[in-house]
Amino acid sequence: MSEATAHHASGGHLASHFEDLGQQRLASSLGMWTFLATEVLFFGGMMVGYTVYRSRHEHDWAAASHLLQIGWGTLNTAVLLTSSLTMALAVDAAKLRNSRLLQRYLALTLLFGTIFLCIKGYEYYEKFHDHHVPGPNFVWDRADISAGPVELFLSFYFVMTGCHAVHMIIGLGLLATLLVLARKGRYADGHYTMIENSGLYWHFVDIVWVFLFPLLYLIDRT
Amino acid sequence: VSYDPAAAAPHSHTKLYLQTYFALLVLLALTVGAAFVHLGSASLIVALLVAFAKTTLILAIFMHLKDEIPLIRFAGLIGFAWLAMFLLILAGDYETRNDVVPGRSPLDVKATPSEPVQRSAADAKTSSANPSESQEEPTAR
Repeated sequence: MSEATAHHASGGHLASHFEDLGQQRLASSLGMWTFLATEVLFFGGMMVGYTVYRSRHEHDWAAASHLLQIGWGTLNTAVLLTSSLTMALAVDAAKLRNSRLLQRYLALTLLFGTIFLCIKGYEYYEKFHDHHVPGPNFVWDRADISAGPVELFLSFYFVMTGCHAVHMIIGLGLLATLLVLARKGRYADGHYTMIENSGLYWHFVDIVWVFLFPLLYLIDRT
Repeated sequence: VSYDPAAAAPHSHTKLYLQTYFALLVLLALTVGAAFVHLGSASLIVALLVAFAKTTLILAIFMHLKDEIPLIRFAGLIGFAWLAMFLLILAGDYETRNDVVPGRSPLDVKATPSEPVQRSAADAKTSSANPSESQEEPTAR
């Protein structure tokens, strides 16, 4: 088969530098997973730093962790796990060439992701309101726990959840794009690499939260 | 290269995904519950074990790494292996650094090695200044 006919036979989906669609899909999967490996190290660096400082300020960090509302954290974890479920179902729908179902699940994932960010935003608002943001306006009135390690913990909290939230916002942008394209009739022919890779990204962001939640919210609640 | 995970399983995965979702929610309840039980230093280990269990479910089923060819599985897991190396080597560094200055943490700002030196120098200055003054006074008399 000549290049032009191979391109035509794939419905215009095969790029000229690939032998066939299988090779093209393998290359895109490998690229996505490699990108996610670098993302593991991006968040991993912060988690390693967290581990070192937590081991030095065990007692103070437990008190600092209690500033976070465990209810909001648990609810947000459940919301994000639900969004992962709807994302997995969206990829499944794309695979089964069911455009209507794909659009519904993409919209649901978008909704749950937005709910997560709203709850996160409210938690941030509470921290600002209570002067629990590290910096010149930080207020700490407990005499038995020194303010320094508490501010250090909250710095880790804001940077880690902030980077996670930025990833969520990028993910929501991806989902919105996919939803618009799906409504225009894309992905109805079983070629859904964009959906597949966006799904991998979304699940990865979920995994990051799966670690952030116990590390930040669940330090010794007894 | 033949690579088409979809062709191997063209049916819907809805039931499997729902089961995975409920397992994830049970694990979430477990980790929140464990935080309220006094486990001492084991509580962090329990929290991390539950997080790894959740991650395994998401990687294997939602991200269908279990259906992928070995090359993709390798690419998917190598990041975690690198992170484990990073953590282990760094932990080894911090644990052995204390041997250089016994009983002193490299992260404890109040006990950096330079500070005691400065303090002893300042002590030496004041202690040498006082005797010289007391020595001068008698000679002035």
